[in-house]
Amino acid sequence: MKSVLIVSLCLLFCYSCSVRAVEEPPRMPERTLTEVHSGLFYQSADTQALQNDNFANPGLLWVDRGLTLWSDDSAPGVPSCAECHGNISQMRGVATRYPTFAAEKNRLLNLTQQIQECRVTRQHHDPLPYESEILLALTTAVVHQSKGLPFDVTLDKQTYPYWVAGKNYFYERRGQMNLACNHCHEHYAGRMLRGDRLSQGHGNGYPAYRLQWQGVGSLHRRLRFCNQGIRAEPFDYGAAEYVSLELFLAWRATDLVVETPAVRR
Amino acid sequence: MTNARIAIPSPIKSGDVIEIKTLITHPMETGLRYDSMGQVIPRNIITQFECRCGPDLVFKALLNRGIAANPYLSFFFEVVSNCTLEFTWQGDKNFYLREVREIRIDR
Amino acid sequence: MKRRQVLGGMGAGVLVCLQPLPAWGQAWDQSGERLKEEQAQFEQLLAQHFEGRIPVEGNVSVNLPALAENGNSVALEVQADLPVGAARVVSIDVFAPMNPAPHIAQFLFGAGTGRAQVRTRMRLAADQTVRAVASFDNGRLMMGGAHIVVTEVACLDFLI
Repeated sequence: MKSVLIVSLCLLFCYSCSVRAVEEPPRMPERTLTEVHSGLFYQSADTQALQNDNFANPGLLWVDRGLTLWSDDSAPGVPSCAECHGNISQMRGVATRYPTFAAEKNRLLNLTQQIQECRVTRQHHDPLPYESEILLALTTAVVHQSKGLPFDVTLDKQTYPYWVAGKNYFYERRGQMNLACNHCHEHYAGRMLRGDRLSQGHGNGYPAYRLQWQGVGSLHRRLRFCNQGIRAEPFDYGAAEYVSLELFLAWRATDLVVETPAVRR
Repeated sequence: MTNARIAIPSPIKSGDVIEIKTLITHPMETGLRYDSMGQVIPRNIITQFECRCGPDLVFKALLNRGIAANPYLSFFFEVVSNCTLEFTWQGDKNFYLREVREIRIDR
Repeated sequence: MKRRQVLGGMGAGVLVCLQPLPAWGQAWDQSGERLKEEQAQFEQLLAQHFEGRIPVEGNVSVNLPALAENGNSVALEVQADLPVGAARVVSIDVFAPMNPAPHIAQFLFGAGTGRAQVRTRMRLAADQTVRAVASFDNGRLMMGGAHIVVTEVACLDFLI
């Protein structure tokens, strides 16, 4: 009888603990990185100079393209982005809040998906593939407006489950090489992986111009490349797993500022 | 969608030797890469860049596939009078882009 | 007896293995071969482009980083100063002898250039000395070069 009472009390206690954990996100999730460095820190001097060049940074070509698209009202009856949002400079600070929970879609959306959403529902365009040139250009142009601002994602009741999913993804082993993200990007950040210096894996410069791609690409493209590198099956562009991971990465990069368009290897 | 950036410093005084910078989107496909079906991706590069001040040649570059994608080119020009600079890029697959910039001497 | 034989055999084996090894520095330094190949390539390019005229070293500077992390986009700067007797630079040819397409570019200057200095970004397929040959209006040819080591090569690595 006594043992039954103790067991049931324990179960009740456990149940109440678990209920509390689901409802309340912890106030200050513990940071695992003691020193936070942007990917720029791990590039060569030549690459750093190219990123900081306000003319020659090749990513700025995509920003220019995005600016043209922003005010493009050539299609009859279709409002341009500028008609609703005004000058693109008013987008300053917007990118720092993404990924965010979108009530109308009832899930976490990143900025590219939000732009797609706007284009489809309010501008009546056909949906484009995630990595299409138009979406890339618009995303790069909008994120570029927040250059120099720190990340400001919200961790609340709605976004916390996604943050947990992202965190679990980051620390979960995967692929033939059975590696988790933290193995390279926390344990060995700064060390050489063949000819490459490992960074801490922040996404603060994306969409970024990668010398290897010879063009601008999204963070999802980079994540797919990482997955392929450890012989894991990559998710599709725009996958919910990557968007949750983006939220976790944005939180993890809290002390860093937006650098878009960054130049990386 | 091709776009180009051109940077010309200002103000300019007569006799200044200014640096003109240009940057243009272009894949500069070498013709040495293969696609996922094993087919060679054909060569597609910008072969020529020209800058003229009116009818006179300022600078001309004949490019080959060893130039990086989204080619950056900067060169110098001695400004002696006002002129209209004409920039043209030409390349494979009938690629052609022309941009015009005015140079005005500030007194 | 048997142990001594085994040890002796091992010792002899080690000595035998060590014999053909040249001095450490010599075995590691294979660049003698590559240097010759690069030189031969460059001479062939000169023959092709300048009808056998040999440029003189000097007056032309090539600026490249000493090490390129990624060979897909390396900052290159070439500049030619006028030698005595020449009024202007006609052209500068840039060569990367170890690239699949070694003639990188030809830059032609008009009369109003003011300074024969060009900056661009190039692709590198191997460690090599990138050379620039300047042609002057008095018919002279002069050249300069800069060596660069490339960690991740372009042209020959296929991208995902």
